[in-house]
Amino acid sequence: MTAPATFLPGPVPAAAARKRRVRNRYLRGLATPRGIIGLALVGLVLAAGLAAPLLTSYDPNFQTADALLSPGSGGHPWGTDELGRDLLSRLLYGIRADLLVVLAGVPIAALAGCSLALLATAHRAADVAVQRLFDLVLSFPGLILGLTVTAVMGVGRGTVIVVIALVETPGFGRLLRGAILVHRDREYAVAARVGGAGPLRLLTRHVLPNAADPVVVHFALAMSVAVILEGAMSFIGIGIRPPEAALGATLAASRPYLEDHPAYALGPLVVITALVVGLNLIAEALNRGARR
Amino acid sequence: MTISVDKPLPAVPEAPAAAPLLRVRDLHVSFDTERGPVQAVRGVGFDLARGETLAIVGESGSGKSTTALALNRMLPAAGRITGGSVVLDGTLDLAAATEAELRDIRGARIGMVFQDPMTSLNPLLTVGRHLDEAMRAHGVDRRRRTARATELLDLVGIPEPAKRMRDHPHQFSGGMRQRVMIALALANEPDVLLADEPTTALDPTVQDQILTLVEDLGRETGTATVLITHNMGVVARSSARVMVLYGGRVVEHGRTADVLTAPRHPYSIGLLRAVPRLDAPYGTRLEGIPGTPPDLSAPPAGCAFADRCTLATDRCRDEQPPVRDTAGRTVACWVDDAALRLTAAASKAVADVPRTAAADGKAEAQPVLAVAGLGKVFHSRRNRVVALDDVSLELRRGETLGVVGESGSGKSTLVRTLVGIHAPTSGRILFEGRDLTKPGRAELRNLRRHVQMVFQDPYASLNPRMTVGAIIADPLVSQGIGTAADQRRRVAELLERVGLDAAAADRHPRDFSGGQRQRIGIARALAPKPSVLICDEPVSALDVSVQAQIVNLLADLQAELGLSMVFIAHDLAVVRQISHRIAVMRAGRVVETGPAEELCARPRHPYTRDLLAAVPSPVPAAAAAA
Repeated sequence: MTAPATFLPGPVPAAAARKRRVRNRYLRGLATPRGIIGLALVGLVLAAGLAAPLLTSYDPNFQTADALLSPGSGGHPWGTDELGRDLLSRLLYGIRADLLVVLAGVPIAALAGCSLALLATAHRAADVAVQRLFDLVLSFPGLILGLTVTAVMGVGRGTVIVVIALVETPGFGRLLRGAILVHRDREYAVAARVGGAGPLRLLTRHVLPNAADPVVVHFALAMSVAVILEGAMSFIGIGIRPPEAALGATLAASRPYLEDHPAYALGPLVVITALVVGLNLIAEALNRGARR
Repeated sequence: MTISVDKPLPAVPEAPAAAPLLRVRDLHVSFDTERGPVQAVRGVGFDLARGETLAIVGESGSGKSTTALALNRMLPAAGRITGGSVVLDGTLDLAAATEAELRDIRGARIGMVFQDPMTSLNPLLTVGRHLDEAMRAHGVDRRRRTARATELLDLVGIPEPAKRMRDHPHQFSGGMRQRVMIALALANEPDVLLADEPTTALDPTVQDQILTLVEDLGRETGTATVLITHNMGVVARSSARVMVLYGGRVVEHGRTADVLTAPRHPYSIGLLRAVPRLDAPYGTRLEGIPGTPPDLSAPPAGCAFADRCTLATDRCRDEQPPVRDTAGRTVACWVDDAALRLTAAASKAVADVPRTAAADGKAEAQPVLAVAGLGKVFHSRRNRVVALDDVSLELRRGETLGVVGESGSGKSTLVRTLVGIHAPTSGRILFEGRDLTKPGRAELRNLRRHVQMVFQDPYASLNPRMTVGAIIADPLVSQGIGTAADQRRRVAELLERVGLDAAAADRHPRDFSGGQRQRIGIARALAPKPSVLICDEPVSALDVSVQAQIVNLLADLQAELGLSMVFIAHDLAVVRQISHRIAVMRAGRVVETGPAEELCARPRHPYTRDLLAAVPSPVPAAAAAA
């Protein structure tokens, strides 16, 4: 049975108009100038870190006794530090160490934060407990928390990962909790309940797909915060244990030689800046893509 | 009620008598969007004389609000005037004026009232402070300002003005805030008042008060008003002239009485026929306008209405229609009057198929759904809000029960309690004789299967991340009805049932207009083959022509599927259109129940009488008497 001609509701939009669009809205957001520059910056640093053994023949800890603080020559394109170690090699391996802790710490934080958020939205009593837990963590500034954890666990890569995870967990948790609470009361969620959806289906099919956007965006932002946190920790000497190369530690060591050997400090500065700017651009691109 | 008219005379010399207060010519406005420029206004022109009220009507996207905003260059950042002129007093072209010149005009010579009184006042400032700022911006001295602010609040009918000056916006109701907005707009005694849907967010009785206020003020202060509205009743009541916009162009413009009683453009004819009227014989079918408004990012070469017009010829599609001007009435249409009148009459005769009251004579049958002594109290930290107070209603098999009431009357709480979203505080809910007040798991499953709901907001009630097919199938999946193939078949069947193409199943809600989305919402509600359909303000968010389509669709579905339906709305004319019986709610109580026609013709409760009296008729009083 068809409706009488008097209420034909108008044409269904043409399929052609839709074909051009990239399906995934995050990808669509990334395929903008902003997203491409962000991806290029982060990609470049990542590639440099991964290709470290190909780009330099020096071990980051190998000391060339006759070339201390060399400003750059044929053998050492970026120069050497005060112990005669190749700066380019230390920079590239520093990127590796840096990205390793960031890429381990942030997903742990995301996982923990989102799990706690789900727990919090499931029950009122759990909500109070989780919220106070977040308050507790957030009441410490990141570096103080870093110092405390280091005092307990000792200096090392694992400590940095734990600190990053701890510092970032409440951010993910609060964000997802808020988004779930908002979307759970939206009219389409009520409609799904009237349609007979149980709590699990309501959550997985209706609420989470809509609540995920801010979490995805936050992931990129959390990575940039983690890059800075790792840099700060190794800068004040509680990060990755020397002599292993780390960006923050290299920066700290370069301070006495800023005037005579600016390339020493410039390397880690450029890399950290590129990562932070790149990740922020990616976050903004994702955010704009998600809002379509 | 007096008002002092001691504002210094405008610096410009008195314009010659021929020049109107506001002369708009060939106004073009375009918006930059990702898909390219959208030409929202395409050549609008009119004159406004001192003290006159001009109504601008049209559906969403017709360009009526954009026109108003363009008059004092208050367009959003993406919009700009691309052509034409807006000449004030025959001297200053506002379309070309500098920002400094515009600042002197805005608020002082042109005042504005917006649609939403809840968001257009700054919550941090007192009402007195708002008025003070408005006058200070135009150099009124401090002592005068305080006195004048009190005077203005008194003028717009706010009791105890001196005391209320110190109150913040949240201490006022919606209607009172709109009065404050009007007081603000009038603070500097403007020559022109731009009122963009000033009463749309308000209840009918409050709307009535606000319109009376605007009319009185116009008479007393000589302020000319541009009244933007989609409500034909408001047009008939408050304006001397009306301009009908469609697709960014003026399609008809003339004296209100002439246009409303004998419209000459097919769009105006359709629009008027789509409006439900309390004075039409009960059972008259509404007529929607088929189709959807044009896409103004690629405006059609010919008449914008051609695609939806039953009289359109090839010439209509290819060439801009000529503007015919007869006796102060302009119509932009290729179709000549004789053909138009003929079609109008013919179509009218077909339209009047009386609506039979299906439930008549079955009154003794057991009600499908009944509530007895239902109460619902919401507790917040400080307040205790009684949303429902001893509500008893029954829905008989195969009937449509209309529920009307103003905002805050408890309508929405009632439906949400009926479908088991809220638990009632007291009273009982009976579905097919079984008590569902505190439903168990099995009872809830039964309820979900048989009682479904259509929501108010077609934008918020569809999950934006799901395809239309998945949305409609959602209740079936949730309730485990049928295999995936069965569900696909059912979705296709339902889409056709509600008048959409089966291909719509693969699209997302964002690809559809408001009316189309509401059809999707109806299809979803029908998916599990419910016996009761609860519609919570299903047409309040839609344009009149689309509202008529949806009301007709629901009436047809109800009759053909034998549904029992609860239809909630705040518009009594719409409710009368579709209901067999009507219940009137006020402050959480049902004050009157009765057969639809009788309740509207012979209301017993004084509140029902007020409600009926407050709905303005789209036929001007003079014409109706003739």
